[in-house]
Amino acid sequence: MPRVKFYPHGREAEVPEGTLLLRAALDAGVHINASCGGNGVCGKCRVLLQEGEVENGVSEKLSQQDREAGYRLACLSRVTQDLSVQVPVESELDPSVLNLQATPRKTAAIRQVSLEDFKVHGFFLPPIEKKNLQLPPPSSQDNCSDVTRVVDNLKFHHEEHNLEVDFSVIRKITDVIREQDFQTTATLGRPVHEESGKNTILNVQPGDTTDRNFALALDVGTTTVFGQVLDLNSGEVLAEYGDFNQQMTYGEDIINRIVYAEKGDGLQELCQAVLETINRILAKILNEAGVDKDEVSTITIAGNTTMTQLLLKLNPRYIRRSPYVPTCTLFPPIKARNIGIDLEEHALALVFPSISSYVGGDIVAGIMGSLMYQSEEVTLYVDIGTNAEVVIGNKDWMVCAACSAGPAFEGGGMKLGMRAKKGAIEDFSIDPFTFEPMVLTIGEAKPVGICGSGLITMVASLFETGVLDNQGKFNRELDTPRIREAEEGIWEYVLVWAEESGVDRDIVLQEPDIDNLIRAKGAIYSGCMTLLDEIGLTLSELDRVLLAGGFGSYIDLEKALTIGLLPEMDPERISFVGNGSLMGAKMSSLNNHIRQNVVEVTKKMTNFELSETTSYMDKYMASLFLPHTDLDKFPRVQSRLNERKKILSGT
Amino acid sequence: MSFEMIKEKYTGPIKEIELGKGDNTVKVGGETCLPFYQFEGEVTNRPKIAMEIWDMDPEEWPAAAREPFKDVIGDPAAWAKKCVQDYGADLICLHLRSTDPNEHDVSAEDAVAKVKKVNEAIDVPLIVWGTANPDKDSVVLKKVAEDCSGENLIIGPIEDVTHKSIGAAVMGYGHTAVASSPIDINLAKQINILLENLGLPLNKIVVDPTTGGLGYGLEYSYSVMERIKLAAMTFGDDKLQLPLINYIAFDVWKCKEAKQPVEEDPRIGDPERRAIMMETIAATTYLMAGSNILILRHPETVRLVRQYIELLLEGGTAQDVAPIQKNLSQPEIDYVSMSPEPDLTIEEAKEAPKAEAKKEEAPKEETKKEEAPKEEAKEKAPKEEAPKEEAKAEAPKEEPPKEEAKAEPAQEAAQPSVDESKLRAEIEDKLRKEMEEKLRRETESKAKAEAAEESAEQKEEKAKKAAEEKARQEAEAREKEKEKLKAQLEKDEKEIREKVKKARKGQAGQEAPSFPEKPEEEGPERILRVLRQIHSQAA
Repeated sequence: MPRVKFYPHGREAEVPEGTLLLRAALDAGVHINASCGGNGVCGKCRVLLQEGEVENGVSEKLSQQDREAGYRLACLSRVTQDLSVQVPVESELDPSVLNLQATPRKTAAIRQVSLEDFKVHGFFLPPIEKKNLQLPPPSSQDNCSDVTRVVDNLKFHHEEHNLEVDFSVIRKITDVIREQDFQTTATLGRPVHEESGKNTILNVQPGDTTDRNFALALDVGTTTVFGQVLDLNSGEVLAEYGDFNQQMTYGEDIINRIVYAEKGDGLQELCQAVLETINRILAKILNEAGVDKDEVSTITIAGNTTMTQLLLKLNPRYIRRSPYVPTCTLFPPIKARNIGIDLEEHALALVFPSISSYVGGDIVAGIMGSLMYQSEEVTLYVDIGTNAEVVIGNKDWMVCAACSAGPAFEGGGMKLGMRAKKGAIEDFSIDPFTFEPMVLTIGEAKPVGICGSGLITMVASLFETGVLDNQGKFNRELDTPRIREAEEGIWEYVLVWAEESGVDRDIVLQEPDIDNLIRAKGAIYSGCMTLLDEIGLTLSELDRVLLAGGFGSYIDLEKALTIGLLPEMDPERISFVGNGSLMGAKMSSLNNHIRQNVVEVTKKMTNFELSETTSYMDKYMASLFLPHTDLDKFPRVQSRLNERKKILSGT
Repeated sequence: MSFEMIKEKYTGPIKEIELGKGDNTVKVGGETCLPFYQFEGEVTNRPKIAMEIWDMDPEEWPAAAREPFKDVIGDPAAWAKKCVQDYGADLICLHLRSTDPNEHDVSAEDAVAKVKKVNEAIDVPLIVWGTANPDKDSVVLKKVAEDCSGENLIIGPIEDVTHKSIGAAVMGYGHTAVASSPIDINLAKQINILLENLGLPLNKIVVDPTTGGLGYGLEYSYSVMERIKLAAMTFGDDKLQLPLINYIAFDVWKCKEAKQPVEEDPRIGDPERRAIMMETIAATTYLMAGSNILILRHPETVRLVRQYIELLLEGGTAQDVAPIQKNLSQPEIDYVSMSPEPDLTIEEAKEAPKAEAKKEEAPKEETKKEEAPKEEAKEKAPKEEAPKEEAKAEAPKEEPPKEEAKAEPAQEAAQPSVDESKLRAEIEDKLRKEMEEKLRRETESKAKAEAAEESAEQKEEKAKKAAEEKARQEAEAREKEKEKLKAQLEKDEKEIREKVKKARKGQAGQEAPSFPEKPEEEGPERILRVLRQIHSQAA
């Protein structure tokens, strides 16, 4: 991989070929003023190439003279070879001061179970399989019924036993098997328990369609819904898309949704809203993957208890009332069409089981999908979302708790929040002297909003440079037009001026947005610490931390630790698994054993009601501070802040 | 080897902070132990009493609070002087009430003028208290800090919203900050961190955890203060090792019961004494929680609290503390007409509750029934006896639990076959009998004495005198009796111990009972054990 050296900082980064120079700078921890998100509009990110050459990097913002001198726009330059880059800085600053600007990135990239490993270990056992049958045409010697013909063929030629036939198959079988001269494909649904259960013939199709066998994985989140198309022959993901849950208009958190569901036709409306979101997403990803609706045999659904109940139209009334009772924790296979999902009649919906009212199928999916339930290592699994969940344990034992964090991590509940999609500011740094920002968007498009990972990075950077105080309030005395009072008592920082943005307005980060983030991270941190305390473990006794969340493709761990989202620990011990719920849904579509094991896992899990754990509220209050009221718990952040203070006071 | 008392080791002293300037300074904090735990550390500076004055005529104050200051009430400087000279206030707290936008909305300049005047009139440090209106305080207290540069005033309340505006001025002009937070240890710490980050050294901060009045949230403040002190002294939290200040006066005197005139609810007694007692009790409670500066209103509260502090630090008896000196006339309260019908049913052979209810009425009846003092005396005697009986009955009761506590671990460890409860029952029975006997004798002798008086047909005063004399004699007799009882108890206790010891020896051989040592648990085992516990609890 090419190496890029930045001067006068003296920092460097190794990046994959084709990486944007601006991104390479952020990775190295080098600040370059850039406010247009990386599409060459503002022309501020001029850098001087000293060694090497980049791809592109020029625009009308650079004069001919500048171009010849070696100036390039970092937001347009792609790295193809080793480079040496001079970054213009305002004055003659000491590198130690310069390097205060940003910390080198410590990302936890998505760590997923590799498909190859999966296959090698014999885990690739989809719950739905297709069998191609060449049936002997009926004759006077063999005039058994069409159904018997299919069943017998499966028995004698494919070693499939314990078969039963879905009524919808019986209805159409006569014509289907004759359509292509008795060549036909049968779709078999595997039972949860191979020994005792029955294989169901879910569908018959004319001809050989075994190479077209697809599944869908669906994560129904409080804020966001994600869908994936999976090829059941290869296990590959063909398309993926996520969108805000349309139920958001009925309330941002599950409590408000339940309240709404209790009124009149509320439940019906909420169910309809999420179905519309789901069907829209499915249509989009199926189209993208080039898969027909009738080629989808199954859809695996993971969601928290309330989302699951709202989708299945189960009265959620008692979820929010002590002693918090859900309607059902284990769901039978359901015809997807019967619950309103726009698929063919044969498609089977498999719904992940829940554990309690506040620990739902999404977290179960995460535990299954990350294979934490098979691991010896004592793992802390944190699912960061609107309803954050924390699990500690290994293959022998597990404890879990849910903590309500709010939608901040998913870009919800913010003035200009958005999901992690094109145009969302996902990376940020700030010059500690001029307070000019460096923003980078997903897809290097004009900025239109802020996504969850961007918010974490912003708040951490602003806090470290002293622009934000420990309470998340802007330092109002700083000399910059970017910090201003938006309305009575509400202060904001302008990330992108209107003329450089992709929307017709300034893109700002406001104090209430930061408050939301602080509350969200406080809920998660205190949830983790309370659970650890309750079972008598200390941080050092954890072997690893798995971080899940649908807020982007990566998380900057150093920044997450800076704001106190997670207890301070060696970043090496932390891995990011992306959207855990979606991953679990996917894995379950690829491995029928997960459906068997999930029942055992749910039985193993001990649930803690944090609302009934007295120390939780206290820990929560202590966490509503950057990084935490007890600074001693964050020695690294503390020493970095002190270091910065020392250097700044020296200049 | 000589006996050595086990002492708690504390992690850090409370920072010693000097308030005021020049010769007019007072030091607070510095203690190396929990409040008044002089057996474990040193109370470097005794808690200080600040007296509250207002920058305006406090019309809402009840008569009891106004009366001592009626000559100075419109003049803050004279008022402050009186507090220092007549009542010995360690500090003065000037509450800038008039600047409240909901009151007179007096300007910052006018407020500053008053602050200066008061500060010049006194030779103790001055606390300047705002109205807790963030916008107004930001202007007023900032100005006060600027214009009184270098005076080391104590300025507050500074909350998180005002920490920058006021805090910066307090720091820049050399004053001390009162960091105020709404009854939460974390918030208390956060505001200190914010002020420190601003550049204000921690030794320029005193902590106001928000003071709840008696019956109006005192217990919340108490718990938070206790936790702050523990965090400071046992967890070494340097951000909380700061003196605590409690504005008791304001919160106690604004409550309904402190203002209610006697006509409204005569049952709760003399308004003057009532309010002073409320303030005093709140103050002593806050002392227990670790307060370093108490802001008080009434001179009598100040006197009582000061004597209380002295007693706690130097020992002595509270009997020498004079009762509340009233400024207002004693209201006529007819308690008899208000008292409920006596409940004459015998409950567990005790008459105590009934006697207590009737006790108050006794003196009045005496004056009314001049012609029948004998009967009265007769009636009175056993009644007065009753509470004493109770007290005595309670005294020996305190002993058995001690034995229990000692016996229980032994039982757990070795499980001797001796039936200790039986032994205990035996002794209790014995004591009860003794007491009953003694009581019977006492009542008899008293009845005899009264019979003698009856025949003398004396006047009321004489009867009173006799009663007093009798009371004294009784007290002496009681004292003796008590001692005797104590000796007996000690002897009995010794016997029990011997018995238990013997029994244990017999059972467990020569070995002293010991607790089985808990083996070090490995990680997973410990977790499984904890989980099992959780499950069994759930079951």
